[in-house]
Amino acid sequence: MRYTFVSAALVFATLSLCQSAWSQPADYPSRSWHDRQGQLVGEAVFVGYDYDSQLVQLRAGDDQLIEISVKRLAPKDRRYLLKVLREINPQPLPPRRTAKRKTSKLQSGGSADVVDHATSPGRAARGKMLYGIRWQASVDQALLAGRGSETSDDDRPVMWFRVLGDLEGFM
Amino acid sequence: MRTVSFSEPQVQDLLNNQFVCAFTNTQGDPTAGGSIGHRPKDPAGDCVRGNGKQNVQTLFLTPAGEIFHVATGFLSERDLLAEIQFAGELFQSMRQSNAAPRSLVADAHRQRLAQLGFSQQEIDSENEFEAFLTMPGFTATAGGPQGFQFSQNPFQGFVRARVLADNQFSIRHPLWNWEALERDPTLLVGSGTSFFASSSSADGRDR
Repeated sequence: MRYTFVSAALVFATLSLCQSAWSQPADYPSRSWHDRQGQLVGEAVFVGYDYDSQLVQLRAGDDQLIEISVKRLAPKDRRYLLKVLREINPQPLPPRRTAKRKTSKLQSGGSADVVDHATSPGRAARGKMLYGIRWQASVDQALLAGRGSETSDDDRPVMWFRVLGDLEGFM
Repeated sequence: MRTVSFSEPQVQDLLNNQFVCAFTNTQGDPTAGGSIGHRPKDPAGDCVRGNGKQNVQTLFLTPAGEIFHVATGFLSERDLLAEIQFAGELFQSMRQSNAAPRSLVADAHRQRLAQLGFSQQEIDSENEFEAFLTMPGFTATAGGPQGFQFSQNPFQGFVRARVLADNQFSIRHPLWNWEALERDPTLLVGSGTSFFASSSSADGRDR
């Protein structure tokens, strides 16, 4: 119960301090969006991206809102998305603010949602702590977090662990 | 690996501070192997480096999504640490060098294999099985296909062949795009199937 409360407080504090869940730009031009198979999704304007659900929000010409998973987008569109997100948030996010809590559970195989930010080198790196390692939700998200800001040389490589099974459960 | 290899403090320190980490569950992928379900709290069983290459792969990517180093199969905490350190140093070299990145990655892996004691012939070998047979620890004797004998450590040849194949991958496919691997991992893990079970497997869930 106490743990749940601390987690909830941490989520609220982090979101309040740092950014809204949806990263929204001002205006972006209409462009063609394609899926991974190269099929046209539609002509639409980028509206926002939700880091938690990894959904990209687009607005088609008839004002219809479209949501599509970043995983379904063609590589070219993902690169465009990365560029846009870096324009929206070019500065490193504020340093980590964490509630004090026990870490022994994490290192002994337990898990906890972590919604804070990496301290160094300063990029947004929300993720989940498992086995003492902070994991991003997807490779795309890890690549995004690994990219340094335009003004500094803080790129980080990605360690991608492909494994048969659920890291938190049976494998 | 998750409960043993990642528990090494130096591994945690390096991964959390110098890398960004992601994992993918390959269940359902036709190239993924099979396994008896292991719970996080199951005691870790004995495992040889490289065991279960289709069940687990550790890959290192540039932030642009280019694969610059791989290690397939099980890695002990010591082996994992060595792979992370090599990857970290190679990434720094790529950032600092003016050399063509693909050549730099391929050359770094050639040098690494040479430092690990592999001959030029082994490094250039095309066939993993052929390389396996020339490894120390594996002695071919007369008597047909079943006439192979282990000498000394029976796993030495297997481990060396796995290390060789992993590094050869980066020599032959430097900076391969991660999405290409996700679409078709056979270039890395082959098209066979393997099954993994440790002595601690208790629940009997097959995958």
